[in-house]
Amino acid sequence: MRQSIRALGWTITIVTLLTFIFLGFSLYSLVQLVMAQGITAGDWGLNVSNGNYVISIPFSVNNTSYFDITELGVTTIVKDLEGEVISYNTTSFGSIPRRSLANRSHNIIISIDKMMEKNLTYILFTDCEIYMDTVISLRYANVIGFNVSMMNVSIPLRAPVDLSIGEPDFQLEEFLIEVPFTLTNQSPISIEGAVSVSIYNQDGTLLGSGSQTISVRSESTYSGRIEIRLTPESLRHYKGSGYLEIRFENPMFSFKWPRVPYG
Amino acid sequence: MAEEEEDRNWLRILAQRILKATLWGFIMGGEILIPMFLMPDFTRQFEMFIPMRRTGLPAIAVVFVAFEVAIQLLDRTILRYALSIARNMISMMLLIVFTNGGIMALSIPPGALPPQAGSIQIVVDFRTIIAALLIFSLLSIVKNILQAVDFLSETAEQPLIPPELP
Repeated sequence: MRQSIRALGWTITIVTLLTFIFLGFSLYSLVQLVMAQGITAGDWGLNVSNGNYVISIPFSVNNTSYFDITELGVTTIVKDLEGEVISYNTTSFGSIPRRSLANRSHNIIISIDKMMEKNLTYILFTDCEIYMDTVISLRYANVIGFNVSMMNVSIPLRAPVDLSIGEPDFQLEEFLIEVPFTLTNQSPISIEGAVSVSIYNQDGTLLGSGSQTISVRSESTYSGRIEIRLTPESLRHYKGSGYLEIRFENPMFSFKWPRVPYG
Repeated sequence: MAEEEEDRNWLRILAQRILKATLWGFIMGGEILIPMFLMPDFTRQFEMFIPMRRTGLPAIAVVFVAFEVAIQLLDRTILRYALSIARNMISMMLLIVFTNGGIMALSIPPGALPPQAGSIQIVVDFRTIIAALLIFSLLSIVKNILQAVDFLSETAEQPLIPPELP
């Protein structure tokens, strides 16, 4: 009996020591992997496909350590300023055996249709900031799990649809105001709808409004002039300065730009 | 005369046990506690790399030292095995509590990073290791029970008188 107890005691001691040695060695190996930049992300690439923005991030995993990396996955959640989710994408890289190299790509897909559904089309027309949550998870040596979360990383986004308004041309004797505009469409979809302009005096009195139907293909620019017809009544309210309100409307969504002063 | 000799023997017995308890107490956790409380400057520098107080290491060390001293003082009695079992059970509970069941999270607050970087959280899941260590603790408890049974059977066969006693 005493010999068995002694053997049990030695077994427990040896196995506990081996466990701590394994734990220490695996953590050391992982730290060496991280210090040698074993997991790196390359330059982002932007593509347009089927009405979607596709941001492709290449990942390279050079597992020079002594243990396998398993269950490696990347999840990205893109949100707008209000916290509304614009895109949710997960890529599973599977397992990367020790002493091997793997290259994978994580795609962030931003669907224009989904943006319209969630009333997020203002992102197309205004410069804004979007926020991205990134979660990288992996299991090292099949035993230790890691989960690295980077939350609310802000990314400035330039509006893909840009509207610029020129100085209004006042032809008051003809009761006409012409407003020149240029619309640049760098989004992956064609912009079809009506641009309407309303002109107000400095007291907020509406002088008149006009609109023009446009159809601007992806990656192209449209320049035009919107005619605003005035009435003798409205001309009496003209004071030389005020502001313009510009709006874009189509059956699916509408957007209103900030006021543009004139005079 | 005989009484004086008996007193000297008891003193010798106690001194031996106290010395042994001190030595084992130092081995089982004293080397962490002594610098922590007697050399605070040294500990403060060490804690920049490993925040010992936050991990509960001093509390674990105090428990181990206290138990080890008691075990050594009560050597060759049944209480030694009872204390060993109690120490194993308490160390299992402390292991679960201080490691949060094997899942530990480290957060880097937004203030410590550039404004556009947001916040970073790292979660480490080592439940498998904790489970293995708990199994070893359970086996240690089984070993102590078997040792206690062996001790009791030995004392039942013949009363065990410590050799130090006259």
